[in-house]
This record gives sequence, C-alpha cells and structure tokens, in this order.
Amino acid sequence: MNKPIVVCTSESDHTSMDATHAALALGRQLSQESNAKLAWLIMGELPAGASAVGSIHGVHEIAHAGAVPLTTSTSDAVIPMLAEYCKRTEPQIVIAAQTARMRTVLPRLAARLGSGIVANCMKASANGGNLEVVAATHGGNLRSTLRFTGPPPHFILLMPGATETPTGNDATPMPELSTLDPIPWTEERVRVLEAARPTGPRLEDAQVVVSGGRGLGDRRNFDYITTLAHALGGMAAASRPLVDAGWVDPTRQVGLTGRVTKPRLYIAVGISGASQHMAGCSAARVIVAINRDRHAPIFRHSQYGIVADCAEILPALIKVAQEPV
Amino acid sequence: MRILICAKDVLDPDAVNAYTVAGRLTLSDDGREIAETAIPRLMNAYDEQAIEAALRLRDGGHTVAITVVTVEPRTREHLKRAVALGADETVLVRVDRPLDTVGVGRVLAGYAEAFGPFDLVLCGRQASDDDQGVVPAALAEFLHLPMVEMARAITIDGQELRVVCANAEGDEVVACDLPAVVTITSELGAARYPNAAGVLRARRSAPSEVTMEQLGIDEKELSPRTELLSLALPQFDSHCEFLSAEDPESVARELLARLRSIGILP
Ligand SMILES: Cc1cc2nc3c(=O)[nH]c(=O)nc-3n(C[C@H](O)[C@H](O)[C@H](O)COP(=O)(O)OP(=O)(O)OC[C@H]3O[C@@H](n4cnc5c(N)ncnc54)[C@H](O)[C@@H]3O)c2cc1C
Ligand SMILES: Nc1ncnc2c1ncn2[C@@H]1O[C@H](COP(=O)(O)O)[C@@H](O)[C@H]1O
Repeated sequence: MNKPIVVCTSESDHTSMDATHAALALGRQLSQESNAKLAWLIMGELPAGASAVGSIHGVHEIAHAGAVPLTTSTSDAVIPMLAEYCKRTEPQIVIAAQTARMRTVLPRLAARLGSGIVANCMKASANGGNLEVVAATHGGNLRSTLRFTGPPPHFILLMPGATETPTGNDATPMPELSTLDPIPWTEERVRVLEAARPTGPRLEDAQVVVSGGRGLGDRRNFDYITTLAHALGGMAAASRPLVDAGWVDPTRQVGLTGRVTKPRLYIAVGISGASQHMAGCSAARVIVAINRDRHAPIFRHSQYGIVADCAEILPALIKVAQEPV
Repeated sequence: MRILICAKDVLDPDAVNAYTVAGRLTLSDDGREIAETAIPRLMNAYDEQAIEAALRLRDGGHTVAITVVTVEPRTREHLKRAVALGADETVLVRVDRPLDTVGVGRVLAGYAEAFGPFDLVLCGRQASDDDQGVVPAALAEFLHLPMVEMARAITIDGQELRVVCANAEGDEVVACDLPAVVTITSELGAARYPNAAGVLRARRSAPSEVTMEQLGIDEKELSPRTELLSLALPQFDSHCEFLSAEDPESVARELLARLRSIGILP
C-alpha cells in the first residue's frame, strides 16, 4: 500500500454534508488510482453517522481530533495539530473542502511543511504518482492544469459545487474510528470579540434562488426579487454590484467571491452572466435567465430564457407564482 | 507605524471577461498564458483596497508609513498607482526563477524580514488572475504572525488590531496584537481616486529594486512545488430555450408551467 490519502473536514463543513461528500468522493477516486488507504480526519464534533458516511466512500479509517479548539476565523491551534498528524501518517495527498477556515489553514500548513497547494480545484488525477489537478482561474474564465512537483503531502482545496454531489454507492466495511491523541495546541493569537450571527437559512442550502443584478436598475426593484423568491418558497440573492452598492447583504452575494449555490432552480434577473457570477450558480439544476439583451452571456448557461424588461416581467411572475396551483 | 502592502499586477479582469464572452480570448503557443496584448494590466483590485484600508488608518489620525511591495511584476503601472494613492515607498523584488504561490509568500516574507520591521502587513484576499488566495496565509506562516482574513474594516488601538471580517455567516469582529497579516475583501468598499498631487508625485516616483541576494533566502525553499501545465477555455453546450408570448403574464404562466412539468417546481 502506498502512503495514505487524507480528507480533512471540520465542524463547519458538516452543516451541509455536500462539501464533505465531494471531498470524500475525490479522496476515494485518488486512493483507488494510487492504491492507497483513504483516511478521514475530522476536527471538532463528529458529524451524525460519520462511520456510515465513511463507509459509503470507502474510507479505511477515521481519525477524530475532537478537542482541537475551532473558532471561526482563526487557525493557530489547528496548524500544529495537522502538522503533527502529517508527520505521523505521512499522507501523499491532503484534500479539504474550500471553506473559510481551510482556506487559511491549508496554505499555512503547506508553507510550514514545504509543500505545494492548489485552491479552486475541480478535478484531480493521481496520474501514476504525478498528481495533476484542474483548477478554475481568471474568475472562472479559464481552467488551469497543474502538476505537483514538490515533496508530499500535496494539498488540494476542493472548490465548492465544482463536482456533482456524490452520495457514494457500494458501501465498504465500516471504517475504524480512532481518537487522535491530544497534541499540545498552541494558543489562538486572534480573539473573537463578536461572533457572526447567522441570519436564518443559508443560501448554499436553498432549493430555489431568485437573484437580481445591476439590470434591476433601481433599488426598489430588488423588492420584486424578494417577493418572487418568497412566492416560490426560495431565497433572494444578488450579483456583486448590488452588494458593493450596499443594496444587499454580503451573505447574499452569489459567485466566486460570494456564496456557491446549487439549487434546483436559479432565476437570474438582470444579470449578465460574468464567469465570476456563474461560479456561484452553474451547479443549479435549472437556470432561468431574464435579461433585456438577447445576447447576454447568461443565456449560454440557461435552460430557459426570457428576453424582457425586468420591471415588466417580475410583477407578472409574482402574480402567477402567488396563484394557488 | 509601518504598513507593508503586497500588491500584484493582473490583467484587467473586466477585459478578460469581455474577451471571453466575445470568444476572442487567445492563449500563448505554450498554452500557459493569455496571449492578448491589448488587455491592460492593473493593480489587483483587492490590493488597491488594501491601500485604501491603510489610508483610512491614516485619515483616522495614525501616523502611517506605507510601503507597497510587488514580486516579479509584468509592469510597474500598479506601483505608480500606489504612489498616486498615497504610498510612501514602492519596492519591486526581482526573482530570477519561476515561483509557485508558496514561493511568492516566502519571498514576500523575506522582504518583510530584511527590510522590516512592519507593524501590519496587508494583502488582497486573492489575486484576480490565479484566484488562489494562498500567498497571504503562506506569508503569515513564514513570518510566524497571526492572520486575519476577509477584513472589511480595520482599526488600531495601541498595539491592538481590531478587524471586522465579512464571513460566510455574517460579520465577525476579532482582535489580535500587532504585528499581524490581514487580507482585505471587496466589502471594505471602493478605493478612493488619486488626487492631483498624488498623480504628480507618482509621475516622478520610481520603485526601489531588491534582488534575491539581499533577501538571503535558501534557494531550496523556492523550488516550485506546483507547475502550471496548461490553460484551457471551458466549453459550454448552450441549449437555451427562449420563451416568448404577447404579454408578460402569458410568458410568466408559460415559464411556471414548464418548470412544474419537469418537476423543478411543485
Ligand atoms: C476578483 C473578482 C471577483 C468577483 N466576484 C464576483 C462574485 O462573487 N459575484 C458576482 O456576481 N460578481 C463578481 N464579480 C463581478 C463580475 O465580474 C461582474 O462584474 C458582475 O457579476 C456583473 O454583475 P451584473 O451581471 O449584475 O451586472 P452587469 O454585468 O452590468 O449586467 C447587467 C445585465 O442586466 C441587463 N439589463 C439591463 N437592464 C435591464 C432590464 N431593465 N431588464 C432586464 N435586464 C436588464 C443587461 O443586459 C446586463 O446583461 C467579480 C469580479 C472580480 C474582478
Ligand atoms: N507577485 C506578488 N507580489 C506581491 N504581492 C502578491 C503577489 N502575488 C500575490 N500577492 C499578494 O497575495 C494576495 C493573494 O494572491 P494569490 O494567493 O495569488 O491569490 C494578493 O492579493 C496580493 O496581496
């Protein structure tokens, strides 16, 4: 057996298990390609049914680091723990879902261990020991293929929504669950004074998203977006210009530097379809675009298109959506 | 107080978007670069906002000296822009070999150590060409400094830094002692425009150049651990069905009927 592949997740990944499933599925693929064990390192509280989840993804062993302190935006305590874990288990590849925490933790760990790291990964292949990854670059306009050439472990940050959410299939034996010996964590140098107060459901979990862009023209037209979203049982969202203008809260921004959504239905109103925006909605099952310009790029990504002025079509959509089915 | 800002020049992302949409983005022969020479290079917008964050500290009454450093840039326009905005000093680090992101972090750390100490290091949350967001955290690690990401506001009280972070769940307020590394996100708000005096100063300015010898970094630390093999334009199979009818209500009815018939809406 070759050196193990490690998937590393922490509590915040487990709110929705999608990112965890995606990381584990990639881990399994790479472990099969390179004839290596798949280990799952879980920091913080164990997610419900961790062993069963591990089993459907062919995880051989679960290492649980329950005591490591996890505060939202800081990472001092996690780094030495992971560095020590890597020293003990000598993984060839470490995969993490690209959450805010891991976006800080993994580059620091790579720097500490003298390893390479690639973020925004969409695919990877073990390629006979020459790990290659495909990553989104230039705001999603391009894909880059990179090869890891340095010493292991190679660090991969898996872009949210980049892969279909796999659920695994042929369950394997339940993985062994071990508790990681406490490693003396260093103290956090960053202190949280006021934690974020989540405001209701997360955009990432919404099944229907109605999103407005600069084409709305007037701040008041965003009310149409909110009303239509409610009528369809979904959530309202926006492209970045509306967030920059202060019309909409940053937690409602869809895109590369906002939320990555994967709803059943995404309705984009007055949004041109820049690749930075599409990075946050292209995983939707169905995209409906409403735009005045028949040649707007958003139509290339849409199943249904309506060429219309938003101020005319939105009231009509709201009216019809509010009628009893 | 000395503030170091790490700034990168990137292809104007709006122009890259426009070329892509028009199907006119071409790659170099080796497939590793965008070939378009007509696309201007600008300072990465988040890095410009990092300068803005430093200027706001200055506006707030702090005495700040701002150094803007860039590693192996393609142009120097962004350094002029930095001076026009209010940077006191610009620095260009020449590197005679290809670097990966961790390597850039190592070089920046080498600069901060050799020419510091700096009380605060500001970076952009990500460079809009590679979109990696890796360099700042690597830099913080090499400098053994605490790190705060996604800052939308920063204030300093004595030796304490306070940061409002735009996190996924909403705003979070954190604090740490200086020195520290902080990344700036677009939620900070737009950077100001240079004033006339700044533009004049920029015209006369030139960056100081630093070579690898001056940084004393072991070559082995810089050998790239990732290598770019190729770039490619993603393909989309476009299959949009346009709905049209006499009046908006009929179109609306048609759309919802379609979505219900394929089971997307109940
Ligand atoms: C580093 C970086 C990160 C970024 N991250 C993000 C991100 O996370 N999310 C994001 O969204 N953007 C992001 N952007 C910005 C992105 O590049 C685009 O600029 C942005 O998405 C455009 O928003 P928009 O489609 O609302 O506006 P525009 O591009 O201005 O499009 C407006 C559209 O509305 C249409 N329109 C106008 N009037 C009407 C009308 N009356 N009725 C119907 N349609 C109308 C127009 O035809 C046009 O297509 C990022 C950019 C950079 C450089
Ligand atoms: N070559 C460079 N020179 C100076 N700063 C850089 C360079 N590359 C990256 N940075 C800094 O690191 C941030 C993130 O870059 P990246 O990790 O490449 O996405 C940028 O916003 C800059 O602040």
